[in-house]
Amino acid sequence: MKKLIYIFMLGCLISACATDKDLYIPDANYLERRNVETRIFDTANTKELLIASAQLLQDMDYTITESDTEIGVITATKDRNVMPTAGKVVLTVLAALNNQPAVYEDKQKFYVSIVNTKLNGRQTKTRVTFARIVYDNLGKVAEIEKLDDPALYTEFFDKLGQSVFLTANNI
Amino acid sequence: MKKSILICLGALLLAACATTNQVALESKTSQVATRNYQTRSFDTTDKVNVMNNIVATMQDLGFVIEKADKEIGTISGFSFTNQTTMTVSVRPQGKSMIVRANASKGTRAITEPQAYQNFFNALSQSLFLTANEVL
Repeated sequence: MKKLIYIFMLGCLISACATDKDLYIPDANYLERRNVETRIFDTANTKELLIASAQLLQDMDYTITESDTEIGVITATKDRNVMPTAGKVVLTVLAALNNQPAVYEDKQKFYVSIVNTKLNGRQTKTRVTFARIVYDNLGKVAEIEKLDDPALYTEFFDKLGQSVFLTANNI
Repeated sequence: MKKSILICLGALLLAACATTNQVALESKTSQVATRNYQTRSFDTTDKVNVMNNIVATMQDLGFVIEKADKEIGTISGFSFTNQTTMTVSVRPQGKSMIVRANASKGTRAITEPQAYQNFFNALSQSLFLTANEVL
C-alpha cells in the first residue's frame, strides 16, 4: 500500500512537470473559436465602438473593471446566483435527510473582455471572450470555465450591433 | 527507526520552507535565468501592433484579458482553460520591442521555459516576426 502511495506521488510530480511543458500551445479548435468570438464592423471609429461596447456591458448589468482606449480593451465582471433560493432550500433539506452537509453551486462570477482592433481605414475587428467561476455554498471554487457556446456569442454580437445603433442615435 | 524518519521528514520540511522574504522576492531563483526564458525581442518599433498581437495571442490561448495599459506597456489576463495568470510587458529598445511574459498557476510560478517558448512561438506567428533571444 505504502509503495503504491509513493508511486502515485511520484506520478503526480512527473505529470505536474509535463503539464507545464504543454502550456500555451494553441489547441486544435482555436481558429474555430476565434471565428465564433469575432465580428468585423464597417466602421473605422474604434472609439465609438468601444463606447457602444461599454453601454452594452452596462445594459447587461456588468461592472467595468478595466479599459484602455488605445489598445481597445474593456473588461467587466458580474456576480450572480447559480440557482434560486427555493432550489437551495430543497437541496439543504435533502442533504439534512441524508445526514449530509449541503454542498451546492451557489454563486457565479462572470468575466468578459472585449477587444476592438482597427483593421484598416474602414473596418474594426471586435473579439469578445466570456468565462465564469462558480463557487459552492462553502465559498470553494466548484467550476472554472471559458464559455464556448456559439449561441452566446451570436446573441452578444446581435446586441452589440443594436448598441452601436442606439449609441450612435444617442438613445 | 521511526525517530530517524521523523527527523528526516522534519529536516525536509525545514529545507522546503522558504522565509516570507524569500517568497516575496523570489530570492531562490536567478534573475538572469528567469529573464532569459521569459524575454524575447521582436524587430519592430510598432508598440501598439505588438500589444494588439499579444492580446490576440492570449485570446487564442483561452485568456480573458483583465488589464491593458498602453503607456506602461502591460497586458494581464487569466486563462480559464488552464487556470494560469499571465502578465506580458512590452518596452521599446532601439529598433526592437522587448516582450516579457511571466505566468503563474495558483500559488506556483510557471518556471518551465518550454511553456514560455510555446507562448512566444504563438506570438511570433501572430506578428509574422521572429522572436529573438535577448540574453
